[in-house]
Amino acid sequence: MTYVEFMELPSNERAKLKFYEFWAKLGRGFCNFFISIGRFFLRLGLNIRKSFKELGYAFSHGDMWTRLSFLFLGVSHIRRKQILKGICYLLLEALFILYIVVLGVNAVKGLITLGNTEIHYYCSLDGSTIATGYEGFVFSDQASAMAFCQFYNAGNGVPGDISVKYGDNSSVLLLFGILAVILIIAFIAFYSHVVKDSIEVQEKKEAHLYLNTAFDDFRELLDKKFYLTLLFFPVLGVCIFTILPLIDMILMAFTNYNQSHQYPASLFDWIGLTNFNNLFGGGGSSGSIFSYTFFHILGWTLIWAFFATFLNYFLGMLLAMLINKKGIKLKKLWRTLFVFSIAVPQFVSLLTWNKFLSSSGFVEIILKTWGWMAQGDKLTVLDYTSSARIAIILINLWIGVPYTILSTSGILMNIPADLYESAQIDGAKPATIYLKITLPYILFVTGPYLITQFVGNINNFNVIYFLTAGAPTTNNYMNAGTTDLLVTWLYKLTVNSANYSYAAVIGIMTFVICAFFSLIAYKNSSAMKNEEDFA
Amino acid sequence: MKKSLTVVAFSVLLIGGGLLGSCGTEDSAVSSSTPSSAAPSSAVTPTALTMWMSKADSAAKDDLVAGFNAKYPDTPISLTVTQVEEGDVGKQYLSDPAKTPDIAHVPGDVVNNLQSQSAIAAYTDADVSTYIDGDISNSTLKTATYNANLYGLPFSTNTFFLYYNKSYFGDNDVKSVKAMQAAITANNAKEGAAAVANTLAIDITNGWYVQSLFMSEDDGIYADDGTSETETNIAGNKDKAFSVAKYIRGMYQATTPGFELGGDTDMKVSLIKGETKAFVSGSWNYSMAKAAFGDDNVGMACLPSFVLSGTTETPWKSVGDYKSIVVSNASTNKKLAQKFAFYLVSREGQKIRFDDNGGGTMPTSISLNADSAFQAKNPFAKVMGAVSENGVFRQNTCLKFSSNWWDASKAFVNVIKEKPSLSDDELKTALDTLGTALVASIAS
Repeated sequence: MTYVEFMELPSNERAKLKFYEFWAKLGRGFCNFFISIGRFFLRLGLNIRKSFKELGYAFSHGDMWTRLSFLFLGVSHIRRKQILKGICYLLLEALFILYIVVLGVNAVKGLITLGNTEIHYYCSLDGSTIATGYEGFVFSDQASAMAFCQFYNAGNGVPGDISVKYGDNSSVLLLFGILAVILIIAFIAFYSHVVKDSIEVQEKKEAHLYLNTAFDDFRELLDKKFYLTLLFFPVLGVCIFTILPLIDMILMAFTNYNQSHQYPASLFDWIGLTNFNNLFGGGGSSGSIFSYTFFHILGWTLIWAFFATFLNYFLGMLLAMLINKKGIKLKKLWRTLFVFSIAVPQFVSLLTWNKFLSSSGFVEIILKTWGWMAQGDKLTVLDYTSSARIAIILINLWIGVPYTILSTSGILMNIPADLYESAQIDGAKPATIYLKITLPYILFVTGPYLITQFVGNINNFNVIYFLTAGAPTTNNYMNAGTTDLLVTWLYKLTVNSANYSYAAVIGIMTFVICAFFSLIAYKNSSAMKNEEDFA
Repeated sequence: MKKSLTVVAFSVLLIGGGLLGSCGTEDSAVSSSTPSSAAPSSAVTPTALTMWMSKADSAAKDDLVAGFNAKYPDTPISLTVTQVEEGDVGKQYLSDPAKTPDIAHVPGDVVNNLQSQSAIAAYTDADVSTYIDGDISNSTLKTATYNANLYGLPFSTNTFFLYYNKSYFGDNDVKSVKAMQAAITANNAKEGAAAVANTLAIDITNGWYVQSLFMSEDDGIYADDGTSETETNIAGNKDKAFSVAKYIRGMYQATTPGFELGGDTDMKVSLIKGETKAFVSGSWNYSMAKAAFGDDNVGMACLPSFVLSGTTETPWKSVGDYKSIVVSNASTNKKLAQKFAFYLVSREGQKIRFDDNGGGTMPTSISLNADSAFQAKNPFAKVMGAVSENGVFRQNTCLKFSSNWWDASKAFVNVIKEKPSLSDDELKTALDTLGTALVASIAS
């Protein structure tokens, strides 16, 4: 349908069409999300296949030294007089083999089993060392160990105490297991690169081409390949401090790591998709309350993110437009006053508002002083779910509007004035000017910011935690209050309940939701689609 | 050259950033680590022990170590103390069980969790008999006993009682809620406009005080003395728990006089305004009582009895929380650490702690509490003694109730607070939900 045909339709038909289009786009975006995951794995598979082909070529076309390089990395380089490089490769291979033999195999075993040895207790004289002759008396819990050792030896002057031998720490095994797998994958990639390089140096030597010396390679690292030098440490840092903990957290979601299964009292184990099954309603009473809590909190999280983002955005924009209007005096003063709240740290503002809105707080005192509230009544804004939620959204305006005023003020000043003049000459109403000129312009520039804000508000820990701490509480939820977001619930699951596996599941779901909204919204933003119009 | 410098500068930045990032990771509440300055006089090398205690108790550490070394010169110690407030101990202790201190002060409701995680060591019967020798009552020791083994040494009693304005209430007026209400009604008739609105103030949304109401009725909410992890007396709307729930509802519905059921701030405001002349709290709010009633008018008494049904008065039990001294299973000097722990709960050790930290809580040493000189210094000695004698429920120590009780009870009371007029059926539903939440599986 062309634009003209679309405009010729009655307004209700146009609205209906836009409505269907929106859901169709959402559906396509949803499918594209999973298709892109599939494409990623397909590309990965193709790259792996390509690598195998190149290795096969290296073996089939390589000479004795190149083929030896499959076992002893760097031998081909040493043969072609790249001695330092070859020795370095050989050393790295030796180090890796040493790591695998000493630590790696156990680390991988630990990753698979998550530990086999539980805590044990033994009879002891001094409470630390196992009493000689009592090594065979092993107990799995402290109570039975105490009962045996004290009773067995009562009055005999031999072990009346116990000593403890800690078992495996499943969380440490998980972490080091992941590290081992990453190192193995990294070595495989390194191995593949070195072997391919072996055939390359062979072919260059045979063609009497110049081969880099060690000094040439070093110089390249400071010249042509300087990006490798610069990126090495940041990439290493990202792998250690971001990717490793991230994988660790993701894998926790497939275990039963919680208060009853944690070091030192107990190991935890792989339980597959049980936690996700519980999330979607399976798993009996424990699963159903988890599922019930998740979907209710998810609903509130999305509602909160929507209102927090768009109210802040549009109110901030309106205020900025009002201040920017011709004829308004003391523009700088108004802007300063409205953005003053940025100077106060957010958590201070939120804690203060919590006190203001509590019973016997500042707001209650003012209302009673002005006679708007009876002396015997109490302010219960934060005691009821609906009023607490509305209060949170409104107080968030205090926090968020100043930022929007600042960002849109700058954009408003840069919208070409002749656009407005032309519109006025054509007889456009103020609402039309706003919808057709101002809003699209601002949306184009702040579109990505809006998406970031929406995703950020889904994870807005501070506002909820400092303002209500998730209260009011309810027994219908699992370890959560009625104003908790997914992120504050996750915090309570870890800090208050030590329920790490469920918390990991919430973390993954939160990521999926944020990624989903980010990808769809960004793809459909005017910043992506209409870049040329605003260039 | 330029690029080499860039690389070097970049590497320095990264390393520096990494070093800075790894520094200062300790919480500011876990910051001071001061070795004791009390050096033992003997030639034996002192064994180094580590301990977590609150800031208030840290003032006593030098005197405690000196006292221990003087009493046991063959096994002297030196002590490194890290200040950790009791509210943080539970979380920090389990974050890295291998790095726990040798000895720690922990709140009563944390001991069970630590022993279930095999983080703390049990004291042997022989040691208890040797070092305690009856100076701490068996019922007090029971609060830190699990599966017949003692895991903590209770050293400090924390409970609550009734503060009242002596110029308003006579001693007999505060024996029951009914008597208090009668006194208020009579006084209001006399005073006219300056009427007292509330019988008493109590923060009923705090799980501690709600527990006192439920446990005042035998088998109130817990089955098997709280040791069952799957049963409560709530499921199936057992009568006793339901009658207590109705009483709480009645407290929210009551007027002329009503009850002040808000938190500390509401309590303070209502006391200042003169709307309330009595409140339920502990020794930590003594200054608030003095400010509200005047230094000479502060009366302290056991909680008044109340009527659950019919006309029978039910004694209102306080809830006792006993802070304990625990020794880590990971300690390499477990026996010596336990010996020091026994010293800390001895009469001598408890007296040093009480003198140095300014008091405010009740020691658990029977002989110390009976000492007249000690009683003269402690304004709460009489009332705490009366509470211990007349009715205190030693806080339940079942694992599930330790962790599940607080939020669940608050949520239950919130249901009544939001709608005081809720029907019996709605109340039963809320009570059932409380029961389910209490035994909700922490782990599967």
